[in-house]
Amino acid sequence: MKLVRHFFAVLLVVGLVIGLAFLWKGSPAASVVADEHDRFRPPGGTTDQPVDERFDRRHERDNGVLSRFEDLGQSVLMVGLIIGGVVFVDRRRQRNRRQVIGSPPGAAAG
Amino acid sequence: MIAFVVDYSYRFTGLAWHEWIGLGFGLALLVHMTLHWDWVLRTTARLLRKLPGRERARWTIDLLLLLVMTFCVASGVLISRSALPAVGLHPAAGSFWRGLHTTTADITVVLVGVHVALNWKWIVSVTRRLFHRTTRTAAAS
Repeated sequence: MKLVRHFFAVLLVVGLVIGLAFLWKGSPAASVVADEHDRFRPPGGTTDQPVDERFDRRHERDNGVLSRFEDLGQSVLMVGLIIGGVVFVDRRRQRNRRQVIGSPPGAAAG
Repeated sequence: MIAFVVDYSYRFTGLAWHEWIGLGFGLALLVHMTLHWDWVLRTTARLLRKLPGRERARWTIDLLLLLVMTFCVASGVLISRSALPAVGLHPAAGSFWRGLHTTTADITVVLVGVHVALNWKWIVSVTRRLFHRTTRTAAAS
């Protein structure tokens, strides 16, 4: 019963966020995201081609392939670097904090 | 995280796989949030009192993830060209939804990395426990 209640609460929050997206679409701020990061554009394609045409071409060419490992490799590398960077900074921060707590009073200032 | 990174590699998966994985991801997101709703309420209540900076950062990252991932999945559903038409639904696409989908996907992949990194200790300890349990079960049988 508790889980069902939680599920409906989550649905409500998600619904509100989706509503926010529709409000955004109707506002002048919609141009902030519209089409600038179009990853469906084929290499060498121009931005003045209709979006649907560009999308369909990529769709035709890519549909069903699980072979472009360089794309997967790039994503894995990027996320790996982010995780590694944040873990490194976080550990260093915690180690420094432990040292400050473990050191005699006044030692941290110097 | 693994599912998202694979799904993010659009040129690797192709459109059909990308959309089906994305739909599964949306359902998994609902289940994940339902299971952790207690933590959300507890931490939100604690925000008003004193909360360590690290916990505050985790809560902020999680809130941003909720917003950005919901935008990403919802806009992905709205621009679906393969999965939804396959079940007889034909959502109306638009440049706003396409732009929102790609922009939020780029932001989400960064936030997912930060989210995983901030929970790294927990992930390592749970993985170790699972691994030990599996090896013990295998050794016993």
